[in-house]
Amino acid sequence: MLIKLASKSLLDRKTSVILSCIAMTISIFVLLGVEHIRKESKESFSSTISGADLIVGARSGQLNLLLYSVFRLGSAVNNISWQSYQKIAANQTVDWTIPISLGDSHKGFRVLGTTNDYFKHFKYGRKQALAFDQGKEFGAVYDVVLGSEVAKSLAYNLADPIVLSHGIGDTSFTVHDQYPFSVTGILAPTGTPVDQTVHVKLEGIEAIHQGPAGEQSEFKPSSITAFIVGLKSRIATFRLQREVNEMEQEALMAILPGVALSELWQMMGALESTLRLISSMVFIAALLGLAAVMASSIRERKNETQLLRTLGAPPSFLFILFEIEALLVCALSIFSGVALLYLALIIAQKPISTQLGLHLSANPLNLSSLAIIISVVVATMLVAAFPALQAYKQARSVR
Amino acid sequence: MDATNTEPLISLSQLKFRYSSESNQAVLNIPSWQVSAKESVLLIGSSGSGKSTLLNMLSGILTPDSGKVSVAGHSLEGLTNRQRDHFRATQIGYVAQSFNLIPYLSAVENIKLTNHLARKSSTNDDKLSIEPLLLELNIPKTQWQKPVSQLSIGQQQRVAIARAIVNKPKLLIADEPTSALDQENRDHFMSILMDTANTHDMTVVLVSHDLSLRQHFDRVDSMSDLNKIEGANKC
Repeated sequence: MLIKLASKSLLDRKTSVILSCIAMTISIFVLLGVEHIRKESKESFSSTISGADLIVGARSGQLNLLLYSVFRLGSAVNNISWQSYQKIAANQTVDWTIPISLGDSHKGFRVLGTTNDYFKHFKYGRKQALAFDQGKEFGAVYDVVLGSEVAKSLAYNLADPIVLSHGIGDTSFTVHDQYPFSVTGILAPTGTPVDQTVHVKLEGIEAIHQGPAGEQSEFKPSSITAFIVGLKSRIATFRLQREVNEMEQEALMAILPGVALSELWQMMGALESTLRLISSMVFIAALLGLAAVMASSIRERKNETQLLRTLGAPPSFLFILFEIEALLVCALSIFSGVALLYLALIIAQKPISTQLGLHLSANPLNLSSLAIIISVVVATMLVAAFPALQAYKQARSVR
Repeated sequence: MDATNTEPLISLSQLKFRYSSESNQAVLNIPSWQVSAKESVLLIGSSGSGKSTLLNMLSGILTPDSGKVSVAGHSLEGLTNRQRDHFRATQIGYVAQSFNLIPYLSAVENIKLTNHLARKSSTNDDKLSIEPLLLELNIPKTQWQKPVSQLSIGQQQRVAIARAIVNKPKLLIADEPTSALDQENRDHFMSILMDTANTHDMTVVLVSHDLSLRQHFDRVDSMSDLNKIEGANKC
């Protein structure tokens, strides 16, 4: 009965109720959306690399090294000589290594030079290995393996000839048409930057840079950008890290991906709290709007209050009635806010994935968003308590 | 409730009341007043004679500063707020001059709301069925589910009667219920009101300034005889 009374009373004041519903909807959309992106981006970052013990690159900041080697963000300050790489790779504690050579692009996608070890040892998510959707790993120097997103957005198929250019950027001046690479494999989607990467052999990278002069056998790599290390035993991690950091021939640095990631979270933490703060502020503003609408309705509902009192409704009935009205508005807003978020995610999923390499799941509902929804409900009840209390007081003073 | 059949249904003694916020002027000073069960009383008084205050006293919305108010076997001054709210929901039917109904609810919903508010003690036996009641009060079936704000004034006042008596109250209080009606509707309303009260064995107290209503009542009392305040007509 109370719910019926509350909902009919809200319907009777459609305009102002709908407006506050829209405000609440938008704020709940922002609140849940920010939380979802925050969570997903963290998860997406964390799942980009797994099972790697160390990443080695030229000495700079550990964050810088992590970002360019794994996330293809930014660029390296310097390269590693092939000799130093060979030396560390030969260390007896080392199980495997994946060399990475960056710095070129193809139609806006990064080109990564590596070896077949990449497909063997690179792990993402929960230690998942890369899988081929079509084709196979490198054979000849001019073989190319495409990330799923690259193949999809450039509409490449197996055995298609493609031209790689030197430098990063969509239009590069040094395009060597005479070296057509050909697609030998296409990877299955991973939801990581691998999907946006064009993989070629290290020798292929050399071929782009050296020009037509030499034979295939002469394309010996002289340097790489970084490499990922897997150890036989994790116990050796810190010892090898120290050894790399103290190498005298070359200024190198080895980082633990997990440690570098947590430094990244620390940096992002401030940004996250700012976003959270802003979205909470938006919500509080919407909530106060609702409370204002309710408070201003108290006077116009004086007759109603008086009537309910005459019918024997205790003042608490009025308090509960106002709370229920607020909760109905809140429930409706949560419903439409979540629906809006679903819709937005479905629409934005693809562009975000191709442009930012960030994979957002379409389902924003999980434990942390449930916690947010619960706090939204509690906050609504608390804020609505003020107009409800006013209604209660008015009911008590009826005579 | 056998006791109420022998005792008067309403009994006031040495009742004194003033609104604390106002001057020292008493609003009510009623040495003694009784109404028997099933009696119908027309209370005549001009505005400001304290009649609305008296009605609020009878329904337990207000409590006296001193003196006794006994209605349907309940000493109202001794009840808690919650008990008085419950008393009002179950024992009193109230028809006011206007705003008797929640405008955005239908006739049926308004009546159900009254049922709901009296729910604690009412089993199916001690309330009336809604549909026969609305038919009895001459409300066309087509109007039952519409918001009452779409009904005519006359229909609204008749729905108000239905709402007032659905919980089978002992006492039906009406405060100028006809002042918004024209002559024809007024007579119709009065005869329906008195017939229904009669059918359901209710005591009626109706206040008005309109003496022409006297024909419908067992007894006519004047506020000025009842209320012994100095410098009368002061509220």
